[in-house]
Amino acid sequence: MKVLIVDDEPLVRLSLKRALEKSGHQVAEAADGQIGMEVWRNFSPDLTFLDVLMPRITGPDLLKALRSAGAVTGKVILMSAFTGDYNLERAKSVGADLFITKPFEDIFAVVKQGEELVRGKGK
Amino acid sequence: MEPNKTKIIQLFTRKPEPKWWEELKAADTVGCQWDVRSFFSPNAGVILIPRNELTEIRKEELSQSKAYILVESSWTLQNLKRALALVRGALFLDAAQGGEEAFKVVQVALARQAERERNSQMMQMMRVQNRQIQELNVSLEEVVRERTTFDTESRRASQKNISRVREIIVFIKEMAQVLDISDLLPLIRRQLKEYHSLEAPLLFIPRGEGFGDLYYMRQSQTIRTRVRAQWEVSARIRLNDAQDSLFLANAMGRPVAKVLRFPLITVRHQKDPSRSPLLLFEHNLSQDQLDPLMASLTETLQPVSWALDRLVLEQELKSSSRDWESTFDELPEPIAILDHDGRVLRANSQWREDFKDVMSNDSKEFRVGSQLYAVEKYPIHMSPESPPISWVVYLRDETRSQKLKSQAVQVEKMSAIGQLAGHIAHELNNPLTGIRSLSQVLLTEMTAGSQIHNDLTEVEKASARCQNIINNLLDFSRGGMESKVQVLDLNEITKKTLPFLKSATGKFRSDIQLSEGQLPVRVEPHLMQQVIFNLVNNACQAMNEKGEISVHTHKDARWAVLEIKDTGPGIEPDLKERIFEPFFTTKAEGEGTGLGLSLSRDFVRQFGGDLEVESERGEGSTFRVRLPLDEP
Repeated sequence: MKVLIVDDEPLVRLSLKRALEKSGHQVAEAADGQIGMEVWRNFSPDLTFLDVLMPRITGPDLLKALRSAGAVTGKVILMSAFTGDYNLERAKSVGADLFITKPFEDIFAVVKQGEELVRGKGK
Repeated sequence: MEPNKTKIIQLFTRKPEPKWWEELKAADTVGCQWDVRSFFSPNAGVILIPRNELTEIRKEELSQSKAYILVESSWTLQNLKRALALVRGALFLDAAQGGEEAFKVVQVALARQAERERNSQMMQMMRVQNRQIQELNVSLEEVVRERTTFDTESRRASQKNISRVREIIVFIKEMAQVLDISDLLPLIRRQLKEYHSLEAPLLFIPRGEGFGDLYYMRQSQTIRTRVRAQWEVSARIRLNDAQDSLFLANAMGRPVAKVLRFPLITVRHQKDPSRSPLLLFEHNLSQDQLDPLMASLTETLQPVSWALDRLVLEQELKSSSRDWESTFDELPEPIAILDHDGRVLRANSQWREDFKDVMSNDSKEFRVGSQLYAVEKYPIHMSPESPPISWVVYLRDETRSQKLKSQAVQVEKMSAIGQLAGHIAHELNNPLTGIRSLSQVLLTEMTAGSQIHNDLTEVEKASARCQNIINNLLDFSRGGMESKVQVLDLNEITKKTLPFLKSATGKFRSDIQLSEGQLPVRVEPHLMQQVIFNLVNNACQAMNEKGEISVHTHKDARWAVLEIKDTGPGIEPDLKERIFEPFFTTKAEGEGTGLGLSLSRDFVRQFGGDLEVESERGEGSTFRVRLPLDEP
């Protein structure tokens, strides 16, 4: 499946991309919200890992803009390294399907969560 | 005097006229009236008695005549004596001398008679005058008597007046000595005892809008009640007003008939008579009895007004000085009035004996023990030119305000550190996530057991530890921002705090024994972490190179107990309490603020617990935190 990673931390993108590719997924990356918006429209991902705090456009703002444009495709997992400002409830209220905190305990567990979400199990 | 009477010459005879009678008549040169009678005529001026008639005359007959008696001469001495005894005046008539010579004697008799008559008339007049004088005397006596009575009466009246004035003076003196308003009523009652129609007096003193104090007597006791009443108070005398009766009835809880209301105009209430005190009497006076009573009541009650003036003023002064005293006592800082030698004239309850030396120097600061005060002195002058007679001294507790300031700075600092820590944690978390996740990805691509696999495993583990530290830091910092009391496990807080102390505890052996099960306590987590941090840090600093630090928790009845023990040199007995004083430190300048223990104890007490220390010289110290368990 097609997975989009929107995060301003290169190492997070890299590690997540490598783990996803190992599972045979097609991965696209964006280094901030602005790029993320364009890539999303062109790539139409089945699953998007979206960071909250990014320069220019934040994850939730990007999501809201795409939702109002009807351009959201697939499932969305919101990620934050700053625990406390977001939780699952608030993530869902801005249109995400799942919320996970960074740092990840196990990157493969995160990939699995994404796969299950798309298959309709992880809700 | 009747003229004919004086010239009536009577011959008294019951026999034939003697022969000289005709001769005598013939010798008359003055024109007398000549009568012959056988009785003594009351009208005759001169009565001639012949020699032969003399023995026949009765004394009674003769004495009725006022006439001058002429008797014929050649009477015997015996006869003459008799005649002289009978008549008031008599002359001898010598008929033998002839008519002319005899008439001369008659003329003498006439003259004497006339003189006698005059005398008698004068006597008469004198008698009348005497009587008049007597009458005058009597009326004068009357006047004198009246006068005397009047004098006596007026003397009595003025004496009465004097004694009344005396009585009033005594009353004034008594009034002046009265110390309490409630003592006035018995004196007033005694003073007015002569007014039988007045009952015992009641006194109403207005105290404010719509309320006042009513004093009245029950038996010999004076009772005071605070009365709230919309009641028109004015400065005029009022008689039998239903409002007054109703007012008293409500105040005393019994029926009241007729009331006389008598305002006491005091000096203080001259400008505002509606605030003047009132005397009230139950009475059975009629309207016409009232006027005379009023005048004397006004006089009698004047001293009461004066006394009230003084008493009410005293009362108000007392209560206002009480107000001031309690105001000053409520102030948290010591204030006193001192004289030049530092003697305390007045002081509030915060003033202590050890402040007495504050006047001995001009320093703006004053230290008592570890307490530091800013000194403010304000001189009191009797007049602008004179030197100050005393000083108001105000000590501002700098320790306290500095401590509050430090505490605020500390909280501010913690909050800033918290925010900073949050940002740092976030910034570190992202790359750390990448490092750890990438390590995990790469590990799947390495052959297990290879050198590179083993090394990468270490990288993954290290990044995991970093994550832990960052998570704790985030927790700590979030607490600092939220500052909320919550129920937390003391063991959990301790566990989260200890990792931050690794650099401090590192070189010592440590013995951590946390109780099994939770110790739920109501605390602000970041403040409690700060307490644990301070105590462990202090314990480590107390030890030199070697030693053991123990952190134990346990449950003691309703308390959660945290003990932090070191094996340092211990604390000198006399310093045991002082170590909790703010700014007290044994550390070198710049190494400690002297606030750690003071703040820690404050925080623990804020949570309803306490912080105490046990220490023996050479045996180390144990700081014990006790917090109430929050258990159902």
